[in-house]
Amino acid sequence: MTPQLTKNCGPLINGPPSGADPRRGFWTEVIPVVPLTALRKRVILITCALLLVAACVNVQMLVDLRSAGITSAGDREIEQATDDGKDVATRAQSEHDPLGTTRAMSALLLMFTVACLGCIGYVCVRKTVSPPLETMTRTLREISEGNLNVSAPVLYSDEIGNLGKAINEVAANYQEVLLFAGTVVGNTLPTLEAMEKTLDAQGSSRSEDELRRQLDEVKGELERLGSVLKDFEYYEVYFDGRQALPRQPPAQTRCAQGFPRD
Amino acid sequence: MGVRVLVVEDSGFMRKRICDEIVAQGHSIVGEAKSGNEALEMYRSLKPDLVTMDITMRDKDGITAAREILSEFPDAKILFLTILKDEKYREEAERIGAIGFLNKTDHSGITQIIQEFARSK
Repeated sequence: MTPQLTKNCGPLINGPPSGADPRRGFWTEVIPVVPLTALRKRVILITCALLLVAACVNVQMLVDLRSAGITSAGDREIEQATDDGKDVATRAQSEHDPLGTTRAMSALLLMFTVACLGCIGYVCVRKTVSPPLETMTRTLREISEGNLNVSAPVLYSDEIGNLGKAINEVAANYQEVLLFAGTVVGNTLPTLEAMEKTLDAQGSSRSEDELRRQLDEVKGELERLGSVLKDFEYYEVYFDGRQALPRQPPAQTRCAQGFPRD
Repeated sequence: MGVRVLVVEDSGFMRKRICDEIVAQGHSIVGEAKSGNEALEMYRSLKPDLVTMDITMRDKDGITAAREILSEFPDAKILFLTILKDEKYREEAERIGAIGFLNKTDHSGITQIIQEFARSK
């Protein structure tokens, strides 16, 4: 399905700002609403099962009625009696006691069956939907607190699995961006330190003092950025403030035998 | 002649940057895999000339995926693009027969190694 593009902000008459990437900024991608196909299928299946059971019970009821000698004329009499008034209906029903008993039993059986199926459906949802959603909620909370060394479960290829994949991709993006910024810090600081040494060697003057102040400012900013990035927990990676390192360096035996597989 | 590249990278942000860089060089992206498992499946179906492989991925890490691809397709050409600075990973990449091990933000290095690969094709 081709995503629609719509205006995000800015005057329509002027169009996108010059040099702007039309896919970003001025234009916003509107993601089409996709129905919950797998969950919908489950609901349809459960509904069909309920309807099937209800139909079976009704058929059974009809068979019972016929075996009890109840005719359609008897039914019509009850309907007529119902129209005539509550007392008459009660009297008519009491005259056709087998019909009333069978209907009551069928209704009870139907209610019991539906209740059982409802319980089964609830248990199924409780076991298959709730645990992964709860885990994903916890995963998102960890990510929001800066711990990227977590993974959302992707157990099934359905909407819940896709949600897990999306959460993992968000975490992966977050990690890449942060490590990228961290690497920039690691690459920039040595250059600034070298410039600082050059200034130290040349002595001081008014312009040099100004340059030094600016350098200190930039360096301080970068160090602050590096310290913030260092506070995050990365998936299998440790960022020491200047460079990204594997959390546990691969041992020789681990390399020879291969990494643990899923 | 353009190189047909399969990009394996779990981060959508970084995947887009790598794809844009490769396309800008005149090569084509035949597939984008988000995990090591997807990489193996896509390699079987697409038979790309070159695979750019991330290392740290949640589903299956790039070293394992590369090893599996190379065991099934010994002529596969794999270029590791990672942000990890670790010699052991570099040595492991060389040992399993990768054609390179670069920082994924080193665009000039990526350009150079893919151009060299295209000339040697």
